[in-house]
Amino acid sequence: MTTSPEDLSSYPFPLRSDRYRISANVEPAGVARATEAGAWGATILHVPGDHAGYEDVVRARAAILDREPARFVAAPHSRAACWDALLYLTARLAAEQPATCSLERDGDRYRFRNSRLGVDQEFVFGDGSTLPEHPLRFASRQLTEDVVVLGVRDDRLWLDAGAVATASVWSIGFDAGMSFRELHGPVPGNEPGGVFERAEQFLLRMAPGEAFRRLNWGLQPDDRLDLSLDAAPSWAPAHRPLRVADPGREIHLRTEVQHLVRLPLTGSVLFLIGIRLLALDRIERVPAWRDRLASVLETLPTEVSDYKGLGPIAALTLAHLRR
Amino acid sequence: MTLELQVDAVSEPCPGYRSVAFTLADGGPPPAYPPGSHLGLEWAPGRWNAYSLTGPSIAPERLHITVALRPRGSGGSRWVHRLRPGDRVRSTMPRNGFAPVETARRHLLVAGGIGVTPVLSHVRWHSFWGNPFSVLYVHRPGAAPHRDELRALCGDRLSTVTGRRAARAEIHRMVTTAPFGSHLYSCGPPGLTAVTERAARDAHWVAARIHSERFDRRREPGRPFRAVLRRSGRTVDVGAGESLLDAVARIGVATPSLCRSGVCGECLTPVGHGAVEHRDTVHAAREGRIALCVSRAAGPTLELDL
Amino acid sequence: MPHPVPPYLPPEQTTLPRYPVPGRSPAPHLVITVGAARRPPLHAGDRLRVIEDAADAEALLDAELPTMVTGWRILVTGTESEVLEVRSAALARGALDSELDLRPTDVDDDLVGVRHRTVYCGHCQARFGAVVAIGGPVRCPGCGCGLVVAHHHSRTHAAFLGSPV
Repeated sequence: MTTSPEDLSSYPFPLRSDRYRISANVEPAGVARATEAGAWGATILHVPGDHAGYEDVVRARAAILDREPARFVAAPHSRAACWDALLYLTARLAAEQPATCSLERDGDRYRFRNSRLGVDQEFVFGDGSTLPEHPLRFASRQLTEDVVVLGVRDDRLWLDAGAVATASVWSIGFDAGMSFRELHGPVPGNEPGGVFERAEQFLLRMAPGEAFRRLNWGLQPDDRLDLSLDAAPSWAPAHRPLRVADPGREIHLRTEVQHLVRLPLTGSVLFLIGIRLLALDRIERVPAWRDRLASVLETLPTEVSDYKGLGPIAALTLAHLRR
Repeated sequence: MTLELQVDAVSEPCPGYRSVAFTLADGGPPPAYPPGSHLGLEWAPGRWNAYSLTGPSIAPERLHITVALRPRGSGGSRWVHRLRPGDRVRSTMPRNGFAPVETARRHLLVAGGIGVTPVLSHVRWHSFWGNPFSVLYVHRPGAAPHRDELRALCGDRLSTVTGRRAARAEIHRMVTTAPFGSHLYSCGPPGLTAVTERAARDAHWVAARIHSERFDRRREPGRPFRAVLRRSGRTVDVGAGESLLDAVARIGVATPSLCRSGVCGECLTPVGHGAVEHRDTVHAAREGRIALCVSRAAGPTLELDL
Repeated sequence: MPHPVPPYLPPEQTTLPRYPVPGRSPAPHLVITVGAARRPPLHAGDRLRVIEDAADAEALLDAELPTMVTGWRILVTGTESEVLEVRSAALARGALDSELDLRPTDVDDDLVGVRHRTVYCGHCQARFGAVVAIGGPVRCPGCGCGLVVAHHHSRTHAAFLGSPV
C-alpha cells in the first residue's frame, strides 16, 4: 500500500534539533505544533482533507485487514475496553470532523455517521449483535492510524487488542498478549529503570480522558506503509541489500505519530499509530528540515542507527542531502 | 482537574445513611468511569473526603453516592446529610483503584457495611457484561443500605450475614470453594478486609487475586518520626498529631497540595529510604511515592525527594 | 518497534524465558508430566497427570480446572518446548504466572544456545519445531521463508519469533 503525497504544510516533521537522542519525548496531544512549513497536531485523529487520500488510505487498510485476519487480535477479556475505544474514537471523529462525522446518543443507543466513507451505523453499547463486526474492527475502518488497546492489570499494560495494518517491522499476531515492556523488545532503553519502564509508569498515571503523543522516525527506500513482519517477503528483498536508483524520489522519511489516550470507562490505554511518509526531495523543499535531517544523521550514535535499522540508508541519505 | 456538581436528589436508603445524586452544574453528561471509582468531594474549604460511586458507570445520567452518618466524625458525613437539591459541590474527577480484573473467571465480592458502595457498582458492571460473580454482604442488623437493590441484581448470588462469626465462616467457605481463576474483592472496615485477605492467603490464593479497598473510620494519629528532605538537605521532626505536609510547610519548604485528604494526588512525592504507612486512596505506594497530607513513616525516619 | 539482531540488552533482560524455581508452596499442585520426563516429587493433596504430548494439555486442563479451586498451583515438567506449550494453555484458561511452576528438563544457564525450540513464523504464523540457537537461521516449513530466530518469545504462542527480516 502506498499513499498520496503528503501535504508539506501539515507534515509532522519529527526532528526538532540537530542531534537525536532516545528519550520519552511525550507531550500533550491535540495541541497544534508549528513547523517551518506550517503546522500539525491540532487533532488527535489524522483525517486528510478532500482529495488528499483519506478514502484511499482507509480502503487500503481495510483491504489488508480483511485479507489477513492475523492483523487483528482481540482477547475476550478486552471486550469492555474495545467498546470504550469505539465510543472514544467515534466521539473524537465527530468532534474533530464536524462537517462530515457525527455521533448521536439516546440512552445506550448510538448513531455514528461518517459521510466521507458512507457510514451510517446505529448500535447499542455493549451489544455485539448490533454491529456488523467486532467493535474495535468497526472503529478501525474509520481511521488512517493503526489502533491498539492496552489493558491495565497488575500495574502493567498488556496488548489485549488491536488492528494493525502498517506495522513498522513487528507483528501484532506475534505480540498479542505481551506486556508493554515485552512487546518493545530488546532495544536500548528497555532495561530495568530505562526509558520504557518510565514511559509505562507515565502511562499508568494518566488520568481518564487525558491524551499524549510522541513521534518516532526512520528511513525506508520506498513508500510502502505496510512494513509488517507479516508482509516481509513483499518488501524486505528491496530493503536489504539496498538498491536505490533515485534517492530523492525513493528514500522516504517514515514518521510515526503515536497517540496515547487513557480511556474513561475502563482505564485502558488506547495507542494510535499513524504512519506519515515524506520523500527526500520533498523534505529538501524545506531547507531547515533538510539541514536538520542531515545533521542528525551525521551525529547519530551507531547504536541508535543499528537499532533503527538505518545503517546503509542513513549513509545514502546523508550523501544525497549533502550533494 | 475538578468538576462542579449540583445536587439533584437526596434520599435515605435506611436509617443513618444518606444517598445523594449529582448532576454536572453545567448540564453536561457526567463522565463514564470504571466500577469501584470514587469522587473526592470538598465538604468544607480545603477539606475533602472520598466517596465511592454506586450508580451505573457506563453512561451515567447522575453520579450517586451513599454515605453513613458519623456523628463523631470530622464533619464530612454530617455535611453530606445536610445537602439539599440545588446545592453546588466541588469534586475531583472519578478516581479508581478498585476496578474489576477483566481476566477473572469469577468475581467474588465481599462488602462490609458502607463498603457495599463500590461493590454495588461492580455488581452493575458484571450484570451488564454477563460475568460470573457472587457477593457476600456483611452488615449490622438494620444497617444494610442497598440490600434490596443488590438482591434484585444478584438473586441467589447474594449472601448476607450479620455478626463476626458468621462472616468469618462465610468468608472461609467462599475462599476455599472459589473456582480456579477467581478474583476476590473486599471493601469495608479494616477489620473485615484484613480477615478476608488472611482467609484467602491461608487458602493459598496468590496476592495478585486479592484486592481490597479499606474504609478507615478514624483518622488515627501516628507516631512521631524524622523526615529527611534529600534535595534541600533539611530534616524535620514530624509530631504525632501533625501531618507530614504540615511539618514540611512549617519549616518553609514549598510543595504543592490541594485536598489534604489523600484523594487528589497533588502532594505525591517520591520516597527514598524508609518504610511508609500509606493512608491515601490514590495508590501512591505503587509508584514509590507518598501522599504527604495523610501518610506517615512506618519507622523512625523517612527520606523524601524534596 | 523493530526487532534487531543482535539485541541491545543482555539475554536476562529480554523476553527469553527463564525458570526460577520457586520454593514449593504448601498449596495443592496439579502436577503435569509431559512425555518421558521424570515424575517430580509429590506432596499430600497433589494430583498427578501424565500426558504423552504437550498438545494434550488443552484437553487435560479443560477436564481438570473445573474441578480445582483457586489456591491450587500447576507444576509442569517436560522439555522446554513442552513446558511452554502447557503454560500457554494454562494462561489461556485463567492461570496466573505466579501460580505456575515450570521445570524444563533440557535447559541450562545458556538462554541462547542450540536446542529444540518452537518457532512462530512472522510471515505466515506457522508454528513448528526446530533445533536452533537464538539468532540462528531456520526455514519455515509452511511458507518456505528464511527466518532468523529472534531474542523475542511469546507466552501466548509458546514460541520464539522467527523473523523474516
